[in-house]
This record gives sequence, C-alpha cells and structure tokens, in this order.
Amino acid sequence: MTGPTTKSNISDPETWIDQHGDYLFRFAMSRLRNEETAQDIVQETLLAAIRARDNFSGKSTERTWLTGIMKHKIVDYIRKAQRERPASEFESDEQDVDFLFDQRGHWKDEFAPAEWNANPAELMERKQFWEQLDRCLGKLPERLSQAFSLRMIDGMKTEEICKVLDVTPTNLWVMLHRSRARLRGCLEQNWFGHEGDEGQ
Amino acid sequence: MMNCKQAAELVSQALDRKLSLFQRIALWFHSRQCLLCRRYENQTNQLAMLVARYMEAVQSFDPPSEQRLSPEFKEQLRAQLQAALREEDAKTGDAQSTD
Repeated sequence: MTGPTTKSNISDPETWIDQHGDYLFRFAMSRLRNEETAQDIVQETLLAAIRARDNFSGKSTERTWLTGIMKHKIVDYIRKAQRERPASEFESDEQDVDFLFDQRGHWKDEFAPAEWNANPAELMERKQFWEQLDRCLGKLPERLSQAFSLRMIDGMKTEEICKVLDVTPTNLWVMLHRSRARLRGCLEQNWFGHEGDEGQ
Repeated sequence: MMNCKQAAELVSQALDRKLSLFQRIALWFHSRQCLLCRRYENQTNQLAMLVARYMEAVQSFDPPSEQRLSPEFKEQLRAQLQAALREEDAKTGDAQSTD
C-alpha cells in the first residue's frame, strides 16, 4: 500500500471511511434524502478525493476538504436531476403557503405564529432539536428542500442557486419563502409548541 | 395597505435580496401594528441563524443509526478505494510498492 509519508499531511484514504464516512453520508442524506443516491455521492467523493489528494493543502481539516468536494458532487447531481425534470413542475400550487392566510391575507387562527419560549442559543446543544429539524426538512417537497439547503445551510448565493435549479430569481424567492414558512410551521407544531412537555 | 401574506413574503425576501426602500417602509408600517408578523419576522430570522449552524451542530452529535453507512457498504467502499489507490500508484510509477 501507499507509504504514509509520501502524501504530505493527509491520512491514509482507507481511514477516511471510518473517520468521515458516516458524517459524509449524513451530509449527503440531509440534501438528497435518498439512501442509494447518498451512498453513490459518498463513493464518488472519496474516489475523487484520492485522485486529488496531492492538492490537499492542510490549511483546512481533512473533513472540511472532503466536505468541499462532496458539496460540488451534490450540486452536480441536483443540476443533472433538474434537467431531467418536467418544466411544468414549478407551477404546481400544492407547494404554496396560501393556506396559512384567509381571503384578506391575514393569518388564519390555527396557523398564526405563536410565542416561542425557547432560547435559540440553547437549542444548539439539543440533539433532539436537530433531529426534529431534520424531520421537518424531510417533509419539504424535494425541490424546496434543495433550494433551502443550498441557500440556508451552505450559504450559497442566490444567483448560483438559480443556475443550479434553473429558475429565475423571483421563482427562487418564492421557493425559499415557501420553505421557510413550512419549516417554521413544522417546528412550531413539533418543537416550540411542546417543548415544555418534553420533561428534560 | 400591506397584509400579512405580503408581509411574510417580504420577511423572507429580505434574507435573499435587498428590499426596495418602499418595501422596507411598507413592511415596517405593517409590522408596527401587527404582533403576529413581528413574531413571524423574529422567528424566521432566528431559524435562519440556527440553520446556518446546521453542519456544525450535527457534527457534534452521533448520527442516528439510519443515517450511518451500513457495514456492508463500508466494506464495498474500502475495496473500491484500495483499487483506486493501486491505480493511482501505478500511474505515478510507484507500482513496485503495491501488491
């Protein structure tokens, strides 16, 4: 096998699977929500990393480096899937959030934002919160969830996301609004509304 | 006069682009009189800040079992990486060190 000293400060690729495999898989799952696709992406990422390992500068951690490669793979995957999708799909109104409002555009009682007692800073430390967030993200329609993750988790610029998803800025703003409104509603229903009941 | 539905749209758009002066003023006027939209704006912004730390947060917790690679897949992956490494070594002329 390769001598450990020949490749600068990078660890033996075979250890990547144990050290970063689950993490990369989870990352891919959070974006793609399909086990097989996520596995494929992990595999492609590690193979690409082997070919590119001389470029690893050691400026970032190995995991950050691998994550960076994977982000590109995921964006490529979404872009390709996008091209194979019927163009009419955006028009479907089932994703809209008009149901939150009455005819005059006021909040309906049952969807009106409630007061949250939780302190957002403390939520960082709560494993259950992130699991709930995952479940709520999982309920978003696929394309909304992709737009949302690229924008809010990866912090990608809106112009870049428009290219990846092949939508206009106006379409993207609508998609992000729908995602945020749905996510907020889901978390209110499943977390902020009941946090006191959890008894922990 | 702006209604809640329009206000909610602008609250979201404010995270993605610079609103026009007119839009900002209209939103401000609406929110001043509307507790629900003030809440909506606060909560939407709080969630944005939390979600931005998603990767950091999930890294500090062990993933649930359904979000881990299966042992079988790991084995298969290991074999593929080994094959790729041998290929790379052959290319760079280190072939004698493999086997």
